[in-house]
Amino acid sequence: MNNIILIDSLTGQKKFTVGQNEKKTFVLYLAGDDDQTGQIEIAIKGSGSDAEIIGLILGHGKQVLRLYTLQDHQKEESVSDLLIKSVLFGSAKFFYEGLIKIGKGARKSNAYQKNDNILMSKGTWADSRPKLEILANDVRCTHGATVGRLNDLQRYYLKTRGLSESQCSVLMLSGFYRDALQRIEDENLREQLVRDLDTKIKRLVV
Amino acid sequence: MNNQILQSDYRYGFSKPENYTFKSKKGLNKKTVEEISRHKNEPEWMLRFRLEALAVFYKKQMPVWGGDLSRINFDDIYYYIKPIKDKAGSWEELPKEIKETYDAIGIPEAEKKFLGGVSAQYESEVVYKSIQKTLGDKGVIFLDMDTGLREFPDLVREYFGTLIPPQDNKFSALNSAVWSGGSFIYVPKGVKVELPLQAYFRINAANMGQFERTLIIADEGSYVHYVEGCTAPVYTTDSLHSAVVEIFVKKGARVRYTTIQNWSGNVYNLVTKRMRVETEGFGEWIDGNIGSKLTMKYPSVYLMGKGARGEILSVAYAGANQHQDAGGKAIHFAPYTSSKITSKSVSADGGRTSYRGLIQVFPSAIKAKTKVICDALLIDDTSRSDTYPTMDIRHNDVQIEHEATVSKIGDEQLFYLNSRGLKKADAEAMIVNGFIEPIVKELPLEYAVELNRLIQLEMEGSVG
Repeated sequence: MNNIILIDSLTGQKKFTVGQNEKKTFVLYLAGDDDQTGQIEIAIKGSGSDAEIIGLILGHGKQVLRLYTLQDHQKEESVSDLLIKSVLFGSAKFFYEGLIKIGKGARKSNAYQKNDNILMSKGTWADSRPKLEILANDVRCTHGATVGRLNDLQRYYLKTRGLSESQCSVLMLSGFYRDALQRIEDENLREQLVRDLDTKIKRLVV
Repeated sequence: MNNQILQSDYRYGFSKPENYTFKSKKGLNKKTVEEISRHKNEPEWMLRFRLEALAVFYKKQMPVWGGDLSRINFDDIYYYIKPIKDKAGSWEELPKEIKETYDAIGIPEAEKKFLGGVSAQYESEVVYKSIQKTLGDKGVIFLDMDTGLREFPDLVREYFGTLIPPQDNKFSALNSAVWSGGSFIYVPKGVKVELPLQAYFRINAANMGQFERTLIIADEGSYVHYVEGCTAPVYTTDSLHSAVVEIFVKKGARVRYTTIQNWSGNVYNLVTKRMRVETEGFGEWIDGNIGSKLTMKYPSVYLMGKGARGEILSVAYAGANQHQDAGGKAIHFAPYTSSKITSKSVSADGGRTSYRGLIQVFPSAIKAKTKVICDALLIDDTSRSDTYPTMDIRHNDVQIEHEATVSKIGDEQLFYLNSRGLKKADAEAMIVNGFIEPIVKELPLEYAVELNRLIQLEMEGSVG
């Protein structure tokens, strides 16, 4: 049974647990106009459990977004996979701190954590701190983070195909989110988020 | 497990009778600092610098992050020991114990003869120095810091403490107050020093602090490779090593700084190392940390000029009761700057390794590029590995990547090597050596051989 939990605003500390042989998908969707600050803590308490965290973040104006995530593996053979994608316009700032903790009892666990950020203008600021604390040895953990802007070569290619500057940006940003969106199994939710993001991107790309 | 075996495997675990002409009283106060300065006949400004640094030291808080520093007792440490009256002019003139010590560490005969210069620090002062004439002819200055200050006071004053001021952190303040020894290097414009310059540091007295201070200035278009090795014998009481290394890489110059530290398991190794790289310059840190009780060391590159490059290679091995908190920092101030940090760490026998790093890109650094790769290997169940990277990017025209993995030795790899007739311990050592290979191959041959040997030794102890 796959449970999808949609989180569309951050307030204080949100705690979740994933139990034995359970699979849960957390979709974090922050594309509004307000500042957001909050913590999402996921305690992976059962063996054979699977937690997927998908973050879609779109910041603009003078927005300040602060996100803290915790993937706390407490039992063996558990899997967690986190992917946070952010696009920042204007002078938006995104501070992200993510921690993977693998406790002594969590042998044979796999944990992944990735944070990709695209900065659309000069005044934006991304601060990414993906952390690992590993206390068991038979594990596989990786994390990665990237910060950059849209690829000039890709843009050039699209322009040679006749797309305008802003059409290129919209297409590339939409593609950037797509690889996270594809992980959402619920088709209705996925389509709804795709539509909503595309509309918002179009409004922001000038 | 096997603590006993590990302890007895420490190759440099011997101590020679202490033979000193002057030993300051234990503990740190204004008098100690004045005494050190007086003994060295330092200029007035250096004494003032030391005393100001001491005031800063008292004011600064101990770092609350990183490793456990609560057991350092600053009042139970000798801050200055002068081993012999005068510096020996040649290897033969060195006192017997010191020569024996170096022979035991194994500074090879050939190295003594052929390398650019050997300056070895036994306790606090450099006692042996032989600079080949060729270096002098090119205008290269390679002295211990004390002599450097005596002979080139203006040059030293211009740079000393400007990159790492005492206010930087508690331990840079401590070093600034009580420093002695270390190396002073100046490479003139356009001069390339082909052979690596080497120094060796060693702590011999129990409760001895080692506060060396190194200053390297590579003028425009020059090149120098500085190699430093550190060892300390085993004592039951804890020791403190707190160095400050400042390196200035001018326009188009290149400096490579290699250090392999193999402190014994009771040494707190708290070091501040920083490089300032100007336009088109290239600064490299190659940093190997084996041993010590706790190491906190994050060599950093400040990329100040257009097109400046920085690279940090870091390898750490933590065994029983050891915590290696190491990493690197790259701070981009100028356009088209690039940096790369590669970190490899191995934790075994309950040891803990932490990667701690910082990438900071200021709005002025357009088109900056940086890549960080951290790989960690956990040998057994009782060990621990952490990764704490920070990326602070304040501009959009950049390219930033960070990757880290933590894993154990692969069962398939072990099985394959077992099937080829290798014992488990040998197979594991082989895999670990392969794991750190990208860094080892950057080392001068004799250091590479020694590092591989040390890892093998440690591994034999950790997997029985």
